[in-house]
Amino acid sequence: MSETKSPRTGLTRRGFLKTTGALAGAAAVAGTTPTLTALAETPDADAAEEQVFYSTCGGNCGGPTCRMKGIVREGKLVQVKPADIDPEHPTFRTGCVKGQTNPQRLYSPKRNLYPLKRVGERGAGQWERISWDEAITTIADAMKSSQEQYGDSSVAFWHSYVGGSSVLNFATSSCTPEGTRTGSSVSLERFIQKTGATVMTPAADKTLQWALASIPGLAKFAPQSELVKAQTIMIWGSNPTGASRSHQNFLRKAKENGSKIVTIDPLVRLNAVQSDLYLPVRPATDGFLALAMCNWIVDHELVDWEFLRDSTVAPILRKEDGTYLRLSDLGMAPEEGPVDPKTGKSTTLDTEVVYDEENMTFGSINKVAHPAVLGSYEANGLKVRTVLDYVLENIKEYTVEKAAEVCDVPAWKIEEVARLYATEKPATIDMWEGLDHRHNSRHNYKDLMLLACLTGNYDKPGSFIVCQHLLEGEDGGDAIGGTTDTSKLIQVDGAKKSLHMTGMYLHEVMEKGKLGSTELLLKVVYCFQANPLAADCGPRELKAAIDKLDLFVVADPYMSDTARWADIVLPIAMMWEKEDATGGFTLLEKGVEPPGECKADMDVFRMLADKMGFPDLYDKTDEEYLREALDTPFNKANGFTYDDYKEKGFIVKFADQMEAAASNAAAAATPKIRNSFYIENPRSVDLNEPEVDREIESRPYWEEPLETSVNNPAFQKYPLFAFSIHEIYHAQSILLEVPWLDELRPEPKIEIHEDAAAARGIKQGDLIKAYNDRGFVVCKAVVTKGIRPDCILLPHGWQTDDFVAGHLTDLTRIDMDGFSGNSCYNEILCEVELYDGGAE
Amino acid sequence: MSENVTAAKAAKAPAATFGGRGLTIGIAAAAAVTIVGLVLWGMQLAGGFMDTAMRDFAPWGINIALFMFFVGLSVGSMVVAASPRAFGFESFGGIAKMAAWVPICSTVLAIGFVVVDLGQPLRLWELFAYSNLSSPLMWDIIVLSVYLILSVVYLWTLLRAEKRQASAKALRIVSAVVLLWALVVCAVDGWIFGLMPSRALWNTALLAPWFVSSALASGAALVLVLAIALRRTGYVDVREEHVARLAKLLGAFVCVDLFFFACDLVTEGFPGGSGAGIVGMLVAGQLAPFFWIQIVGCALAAVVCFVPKLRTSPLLVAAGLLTVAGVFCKRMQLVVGGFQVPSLDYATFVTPFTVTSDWGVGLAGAYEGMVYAPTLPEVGLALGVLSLGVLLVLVGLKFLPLSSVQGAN
Amino acid sequence: MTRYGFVIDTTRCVGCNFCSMACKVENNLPEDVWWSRAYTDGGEVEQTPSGEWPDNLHMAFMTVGCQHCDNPACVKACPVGATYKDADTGIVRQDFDKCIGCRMCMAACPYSGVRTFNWEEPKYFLDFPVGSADAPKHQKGVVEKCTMCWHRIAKGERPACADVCRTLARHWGDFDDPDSEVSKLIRDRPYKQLLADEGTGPCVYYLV
Repeated sequence: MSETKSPRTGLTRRGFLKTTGALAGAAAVAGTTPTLTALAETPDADAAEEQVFYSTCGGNCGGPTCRMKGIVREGKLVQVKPADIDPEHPTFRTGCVKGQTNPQRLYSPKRNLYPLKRVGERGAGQWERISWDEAITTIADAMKSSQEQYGDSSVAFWHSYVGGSSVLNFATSSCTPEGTRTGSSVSLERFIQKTGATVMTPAADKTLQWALASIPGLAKFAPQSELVKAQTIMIWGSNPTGASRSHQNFLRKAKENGSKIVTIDPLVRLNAVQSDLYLPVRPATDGFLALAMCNWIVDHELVDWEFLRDSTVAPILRKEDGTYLRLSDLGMAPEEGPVDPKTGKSTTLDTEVVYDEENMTFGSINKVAHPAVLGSYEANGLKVRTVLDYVLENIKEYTVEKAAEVCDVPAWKIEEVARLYATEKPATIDMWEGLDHRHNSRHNYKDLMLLACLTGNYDKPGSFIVCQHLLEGEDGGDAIGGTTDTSKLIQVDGAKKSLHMTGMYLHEVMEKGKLGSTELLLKVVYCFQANPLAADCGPRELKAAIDKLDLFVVADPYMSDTARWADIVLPIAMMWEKEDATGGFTLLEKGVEPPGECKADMDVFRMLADKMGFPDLYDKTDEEYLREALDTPFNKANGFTYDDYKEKGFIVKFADQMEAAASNAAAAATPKIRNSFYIENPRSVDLNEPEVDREIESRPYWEEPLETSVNNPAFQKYPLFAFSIHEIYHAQSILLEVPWLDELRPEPKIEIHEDAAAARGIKQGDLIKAYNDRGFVVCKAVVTKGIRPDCILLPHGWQTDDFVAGHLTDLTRIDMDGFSGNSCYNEILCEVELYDGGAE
Repeated sequence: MSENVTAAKAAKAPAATFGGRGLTIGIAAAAAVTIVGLVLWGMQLAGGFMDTAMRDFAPWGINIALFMFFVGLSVGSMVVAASPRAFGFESFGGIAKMAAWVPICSTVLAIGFVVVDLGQPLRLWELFAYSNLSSPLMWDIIVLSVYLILSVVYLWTLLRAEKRQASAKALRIVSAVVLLWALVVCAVDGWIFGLMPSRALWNTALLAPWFVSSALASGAALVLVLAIALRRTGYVDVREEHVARLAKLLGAFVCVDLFFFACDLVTEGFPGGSGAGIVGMLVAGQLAPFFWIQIVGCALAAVVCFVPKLRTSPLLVAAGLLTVAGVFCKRMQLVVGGFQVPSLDYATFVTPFTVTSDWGVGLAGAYEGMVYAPTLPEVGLALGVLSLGVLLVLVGLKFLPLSSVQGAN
Repeated sequence: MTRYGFVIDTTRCVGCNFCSMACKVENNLPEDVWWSRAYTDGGEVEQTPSGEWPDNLHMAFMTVGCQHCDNPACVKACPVGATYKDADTGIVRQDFDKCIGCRMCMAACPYSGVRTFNWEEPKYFLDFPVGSADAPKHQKGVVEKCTMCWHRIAKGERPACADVCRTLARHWGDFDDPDSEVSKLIRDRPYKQLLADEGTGPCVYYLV
């Protein structure tokens, strides 16, 4: 506690005495049995002093963090609650039902308290307590000998998203189709740079990340407050009243302002019930629906040509090989670009070429005032046509009539939604990552961008596609915290090159010894901030792959499904037990000591570096790293420095409190990005070298999903589409086995439509088995009217012990989207039956 | 005291056998079960109520049903015992003293059932220190306490009068007072439930008179059974005509009780009435067993009571027991039924404190069956309390001069 | 005079139980005890709709705790006055030290589930009290319910549930103050009260 003495105490002893007086006084005035009342509610006279700390719940709900206030009494975290209301910004609220359970999560008997070594069969649960020294020595020796024998890349660090990202502990990997990986945590990145070890990146949230890097303009996320400006809102690929917390506030505000709300989702949640129009679309057909709407809008001449011309890639001329026509193709001189802020020198740009309708010439897209949006031309002997011309011709097959059949939604509804979206403007799509879990998911973003660009519903107030569903939100925009910059801190002298791969390729790598054509002999895997065996796909293949490793280490606060499969388990400190900082939120304070021998990841990396023979790898103390990471010009200008946080603990600012000049300057510095619905160079984020069919990968497109299609022969045997979502009470396995939450939802359940249930003799609360050729899961049924009759909702994020038998992930397939590296969590066809108690 | 004279003459049974070893064994057995009951109560006090079926959505159970039942029994038997004296017509023969002792035992029992049901029985004294006079329960506690005292006074007067130490007029006044007070007790008992607007099954003006009719039926039935049984053992002497008169009275009470039930059902279930669901719940739903045992039992009892040929001792005992069982079923049905209709019929989460249910359907599932059905420990504790009553009755038989047969005491 | 109460906007409430959990932690409620709970007005299971799929579905949520009635049935029912209405605040209060555990109040209260009885010695998952240090102590064999966070109001704070709602569905304030937010809300918006015809005069208003 000595290092975390906080000057900001809550109720002190003196405060209690005053309180007692107030209570007694109030009771006396009330006049009813004052003595007993006063006695009943007089706090203990010797109640301990309270301290206040600010951090976040670490619940990994999928979004960035909520600012939470922790109360510490006698060295224990006794309460975690939302940050105090700012009277000037009363709609800024933080936390959720889950976040308050931190005390139970921190002091759970299921915490790993000591390093453990496996003594029985893998997964048998037989462990021997070992010392940290033995654990680290074993791991470091294995890493060293593996790297000596099989090369630097044979050691891998496998992480997911437990804490978002942070300066010290929480790893992050931002991968681009160009093959680069960017991480920012000092602990992992310095270690990787020093040792050249491989990074195994998450398989979730990858489709959106890939799309953001591949589709210019998509990254224009909107704060939730923008929703209120929209006249039409299409909730699509999000769970605004379950997984998002503040979203309903903005949806209702929009509704109160007269907006029309549409929900496109196979599952009914409150937002669907409250919508003006509900389209229960068949899973994995959303792209088709979007393209059919595009066609209808074109046919009904509701296209915003001006927007297409001025703000999108529509007029760019596309060569027959799929790439853009550039100045160099025409032998024209490159254009002068902006001055590079680092070098101070001017740059040149080989910009895209458009056709100038007024002058009947070709020219740079940045220079031509009135480029043609449609048409084909010959330029310098090359056959070219505008991107839009090409795209529109190729989406003609996606008609409303066909969509009605493929998406299983009445044609009139599709037309009505298209009409609303194209005419009741500004209109917006209100999306998060709900569509990202299938093999054909990546195409959706091109389709939706086309829809938005055709109608001019993009990049304007109240018009966007991806909304910041998971931020705290406020009527004036999103709250602002300090930034962090670790780019210099993670730099190691003589940094080695390292490989990275989506972790879920593990089975392929273990089988073939390579990914794509890159040799990769993995021998030692250190898994941290991740629980792939409970939360990801294809557990059978993953377990088989792990079996082939020389050493599998799992660092986790809990004995997770993945930790159970480890050779060595390391006990890790949780939020509130370590100091750290995360960008946009900033300081995460330490309020209590970790239990047992738990250590922060940063400390584990320090020990590991020591044993690996790099005692000076981490050359600064935690506080020094944090100070420097928070020492950004933005933070200094706005009062977000380390010292500011140490003094105040909680600092948050709102758009109306920021210097207008600063934000204007930032906006001016950003070059104009034309909104795209076309990918000039489709590439994978991984080394897997997928075959690229440009005709498919570049343009708005819809293809049959890998499995969840009525045209899949397996559909005859397994006629139910299964999917899972993030919900009110759970997101990931980290939030499980919390008694307070368990009282609200004691067990996993499968939601099934009443007709589908009746056809199978299933009644409310029956134990049912969902199964396919890959495996099965048994849990109770929720018979509902709130889901498509050909779908079931599987409970995501539970662990082995929570199911009656089997595991949700046993139904999943290991195949991933070969471009984004996203797992196909929802590529599941299955059948459901009453459970008869049998094992299979 | 003409009965006594007659009784002495009519004594046929071997009086010497009564009150001997059999009674002593009975007392010992009842005492033993009572002790077991005390142990069970101690366990409940230490361990809590989780081994009962009572929960937040059904916070009362068999103890409250038995409380109502024994208040009714007490009142009923008191009316049967005291009304002849009060109104000055011929009494039911030699069972008068017995019928005065039974209400005292029943009242003690009723209080016992409430006491074992309390979460904090050590705070009982607060009832007298902080009485909230707006609470129907408080009214009940007051009238019941007074009633208990009056009952003792009545029995004492009866015994004194027998020894000609009290005047017939005094006895008649005491009888009248205790009779009236008994009806007050019964009505107030009904108001505990009837004045709760929140419970559809309880909130009817009919409840208080209905409580009276049920009380009379069960009281008359008990007195009838005791009379026949004790006559057989030679403890009391009851003439056949007294038995017949008692039986006819029982028949009448049962019919009135059934009539009230019919009134209630028709009012609730009349087409367009709001309570059709409640009628369904009673007649064919979760509470149907209680309903049909009561209806069929009471109807049979009435038949036995009214058809002279059927008025044989065994059949009359059966009729009495059927009535007692029927009224008990009604009490259970009333308590459970009060909670069986959820006031807020919406889905919510369920914890082990909410309802006893291992259904996967949460609250909706809990209401599919009976929301409350007593558990073995509850029944055990109830039997323990009950045996305290048996013990009291037997001790009374052994040590109090309740016999109408000389030498039996 | 002051008459504290809540306004719950059922068009906004998503039934997430955030407020229920805030109450649970603040008051260190024992295992299985909840003073507030979200109800689903819809299908027979929480968070499921009623009606006809897909276009005529109905689902709405409301959080229900003690209604702090103007004419509370529980207060009249309690034989020892352990539950009573505080004249200065309108809060229906309880004296845990006085309650004899007869559960008359639970039978009398039309809002099943808002009163909870400690059917056994209160159990806690953690071996130290959580939440507010001056939250009331819990006793076996005693009826409990929402105190409207009396311990907070006494300090000039607002109830723990009052300001946590992320969808701004929950409002707390003084209905006797015509300028209060809650007074304005029930002036401007249509509302319902739970079981209004029971005559209890609940001080929780549900905007519809």
